[in-house]
Amino acid sequence: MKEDFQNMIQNNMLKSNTSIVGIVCKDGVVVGADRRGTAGSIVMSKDHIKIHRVNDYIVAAYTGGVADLLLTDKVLAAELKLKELKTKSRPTVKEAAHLLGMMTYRNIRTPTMIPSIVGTLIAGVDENGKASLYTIEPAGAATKVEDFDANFSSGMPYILGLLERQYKKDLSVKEGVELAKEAIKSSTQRDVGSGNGIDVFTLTKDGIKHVVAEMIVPEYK
Amino acid sequence: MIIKKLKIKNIRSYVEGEINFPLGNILLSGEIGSGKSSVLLAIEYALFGLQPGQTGSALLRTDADNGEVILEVEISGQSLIIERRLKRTKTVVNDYSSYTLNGEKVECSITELKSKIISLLGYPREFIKKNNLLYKYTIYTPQESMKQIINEDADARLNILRHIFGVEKYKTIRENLTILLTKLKEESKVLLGETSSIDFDKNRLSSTKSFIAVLNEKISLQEAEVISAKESRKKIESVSLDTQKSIKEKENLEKELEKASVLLSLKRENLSGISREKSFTQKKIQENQIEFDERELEKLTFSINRLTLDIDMKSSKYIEFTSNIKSLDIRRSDMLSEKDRVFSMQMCPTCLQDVPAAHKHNILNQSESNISQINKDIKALKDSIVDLPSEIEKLKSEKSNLEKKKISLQILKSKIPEFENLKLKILDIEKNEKLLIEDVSILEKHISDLKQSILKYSKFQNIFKINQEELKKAFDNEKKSEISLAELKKELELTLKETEILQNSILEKEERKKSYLKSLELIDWLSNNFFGLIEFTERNVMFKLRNEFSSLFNKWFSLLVTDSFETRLDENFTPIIIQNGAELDYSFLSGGERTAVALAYRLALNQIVNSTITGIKTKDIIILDEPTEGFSENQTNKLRDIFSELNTKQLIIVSHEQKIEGFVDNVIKIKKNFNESKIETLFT
Repeated sequence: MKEDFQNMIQNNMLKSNTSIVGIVCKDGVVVGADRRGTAGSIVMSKDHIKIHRVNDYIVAAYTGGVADLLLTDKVLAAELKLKELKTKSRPTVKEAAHLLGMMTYRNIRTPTMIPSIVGTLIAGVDENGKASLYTIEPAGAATKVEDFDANFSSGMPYILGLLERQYKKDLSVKEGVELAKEAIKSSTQRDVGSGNGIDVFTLTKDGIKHVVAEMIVPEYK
Repeated sequence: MIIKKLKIKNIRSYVEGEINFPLGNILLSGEIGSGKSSVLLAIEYALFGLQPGQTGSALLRTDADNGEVILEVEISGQSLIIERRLKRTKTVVNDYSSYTLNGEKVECSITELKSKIISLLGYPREFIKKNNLLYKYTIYTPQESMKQIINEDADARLNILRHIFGVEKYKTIRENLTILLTKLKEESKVLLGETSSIDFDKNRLSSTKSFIAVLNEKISLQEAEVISAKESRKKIESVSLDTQKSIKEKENLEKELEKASVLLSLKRENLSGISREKSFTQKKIQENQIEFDERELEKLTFSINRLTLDIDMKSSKYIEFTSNIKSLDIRRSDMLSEKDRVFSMQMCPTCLQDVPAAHKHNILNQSESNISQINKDIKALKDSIVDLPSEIEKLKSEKSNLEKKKISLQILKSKIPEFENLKLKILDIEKNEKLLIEDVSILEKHISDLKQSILKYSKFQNIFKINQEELKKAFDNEKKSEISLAELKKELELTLKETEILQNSILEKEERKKSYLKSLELIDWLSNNFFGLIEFTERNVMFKLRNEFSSLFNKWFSLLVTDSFETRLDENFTPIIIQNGAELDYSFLSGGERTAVALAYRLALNQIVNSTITGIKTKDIIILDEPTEGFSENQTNKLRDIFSELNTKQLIIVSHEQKIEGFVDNVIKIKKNFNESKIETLFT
C-alpha cells in the first residue's frame, strides 16, 4: 500500500512538467521557476508564472496540478490571514510551512477520484528579517532547506545535478540569482516539460523582489 | 657645357663609335655623307631626345633593332652622363633613358630626363614643353636649317626670336591681359547684377528683425502656457497615481476576499460535515441509551450461581437415587435370578451336593424378604425422587431466564466503552464545531471588512476613469501648447536663419560691391596703364635686342664678306643688306653671301642669347654644321678670324672642307666604308 502511494507520487510528480528551484544564500533566499504550463505532452501556456506571492512576506513555488496548487495557494493565504486575525500576530515562515505541510498531508490522504498532489517550495522573511526556505513534499512532510532544493518538479534531476556541482555555501543573493537562472536554463534545455521563461524572486531583509522576469523566445535561423 | 665623350651604337650609319671631345676648336672632318652630322644628331638626341617631326627610325641604323647613345658632358664642373636607347618594335621608340650626375645614376622617363637637362643647362623652364629652339638656334643648327630663319616670313621669324629671347612672354601677357580684362568686365557685370538688390535686402532685414521681436514675445507667452499646461497635467497625474494606488489596493483586497471566501466556503463545508457527523453520533447515542445496573448483574450472577448449586445438588441427588434404584433393581433382578436358579438348582455347584428344599425354601424366603425389602426401598427411593426432575427443570428454567438477563446486562456492559467513545466524539465534534464556527465568524467578519473596504475603494474606479479623461485632455493641451511653442520656435529659428542669410548676403553683396569697384579700378588700370606699359616694355626690350643683334650681325657679317656691305636688322629682325646705298634682296645674294648672312645671323643670335639669358650653361660651346657651304676660298679663310673671335671653350665644326683643318686645334676624321661610318683618327 505504501509502495503504491509512493509510486503514485513519483509517477505524478515527475510528470508534473515543471522546474522550480530554491537556493539558500547567506543574506537571503532565492526562488526560481520556469513558465511552461502543460497538459500531458501539450504546451498549454507559455507565460504561466509558477511562483506565487502568498502574502507580503511569503512566496511559494508549486509543482503539481494547476487546479490543486491554485486552490492550495488561496487556502494557504486565507488560513495564514485567519491565523493572524485569531492570534493577532503574524505567522512565521515555519508555521506557514507546517500549516501547508498539514494541508498537503490531509489533502493527499483524503479519498477521492483525483487526488490532490502538490509539491511546494515555500520561502519567506520573518519579522526578524531572516529569510528561510522549506520544502513540502507531496506526501505532506515539511522540511527546512539548508542549501538548495527543487522539490519533485520534473526538472529536478537536471537542477540538482547542476547545483550539486555549482552551489557553494555562503553564496550572496546576487550569485544565487545567477545560479537559479543557470539551473532553470539547464532544466529548460533538457526537460520537455520546462521552458518558455524564467522567473526569479529574492527574499531578503528588504522584502520580496521579482528580480528576473524573462521570456525565452525561439530564434529561427 | 662642355662635351666630353660620345658613345654611339647602331646610330644612322654607325654600328659602334666613341669620340672623346677635347677643349678648343674641333673639326669633324670627312667626306660628304661620311656620318659627320650623325654625330651632331646623336648629341642632340642624347640631350633632348627625339624632336617633333623626328622619328626614331631616322636615327636607328636600318639593320639594327636596338641603338644607344651615351653622352658625357660637364656642366659647371658637374659630370653628367646621359644614356638613351632606341628599340625597334612596329616603330622605333625610346626604350630606356637615364642620367648619371656626379656618379649617381638615375633611371627616369624621357620627360623627367628632359626636365633635368633643361634645369642643368639653365634654360628657362618653359622650354621643357617647347621645342629646343634655344639649342637649335644658338648651339647647333643642322645644315639644312641654317638659312631657314632667314627665309621665314617676318611674323614667323619674329615669333621664333620672341620665343628664343623669352620676349614672347610680353605677347602672352598682352593676350592674357585681354582675356583677363574680358573676364574682369564680365565679372564686373555679374557683380553689378548681384549687388543691385542690396537695398531691397536691407529693407527685408529690417522687417525680419521686427518679426523676430514679435515672435520672441509670442514664444514667451507660449512658454508660460506650456509650463502652466505641464503643471496642470502633473497635478492630474499625481491624483491619478494616488487613484491607481487605491485601485491596486482594491485589487489586492479583492484577491484577499477571494481567498477568504474560498476558505470560508471550505470551513462552512467542514462545519456542515461536522454538524452532520454530530447529529449522526447524537442519534446513535440516543438509540443506544443504556440503563445498566452493576448490582443487578451481581445479584443475577449470585442467583444464577445459587440456582446452579441447587440444580447440581438436586441432580446429584436424583442421580444418586436413580443409581440406587438401579442398583436395587439390579440387585432385585439378581435376587430373582438367584431365587429362580436356587429354586431350580438340584445340586450345589460348589460342593456338588444336592440342595435341600428347605435350604431352598430358606433361601427363597430370604430372597423373597430381601426382594420385598428392595422393592420397599425402591419404592421409597422412587417416591423420594419423583418430584426431583420437575424441580430440577424448574430450577434450570429459572437459571436460564436469569442467564438471559445476565447476558443482556453483559451486552449492555460491553457497549458502555463505545458509548463513552461516542460521547467523547461528540465532545470533539462540538469542540471542532466551535472552532469552525469561530473561524467562520472571523472569516465572515474579515470578508465583511474586506467588502466594506472594497466598497470604499470602488469609487476610485470611476474617479480613475475621470482622471484618465482629464489626464488625456491635459496631455492634449500640453501637446498642443508644446506644438505651438515648437512651431513658434521653428519659425523663429527659420526667421533667424533667414536673417543670418540676409545679413550674410548683405555683407557679401557689400563685399562684392567693393570687389566690383575694385574690379572697375583694376580694369581701368590694366587697360589704361598696364597694357601700355607692357607694350612699351616689349618695344624697348625688342629695340634694345634688335640694336645689339644688329650690331653683332653687322660685326660677324663684315668679317665674313669681302665686299663693302652695310647691314642692319629691320623691326622684324629681317637682315637688310645694303650695298652702295641700295638694299639688296636676300635672294639676289650669292650662295656664299647667303651662307655668310645665315652664319652671321646665327653667331649674333648665339651671342645675344648668351648675354640676355642669365644662368644659361651653354655659353661655352658652339657647333657649326657645314658653315662654309658656298664659301669662296677667301671667305673660308676668314673663318680662322671668326673662330678666333668667337673665343669659346669648345667649338665643334662639321665640315668636309680640308682647309678648315688648319684653323682648328683638333680634327676628328670620319670615314664611311661599306655603309658603315667609323671614327678614324683624332689629330691635335
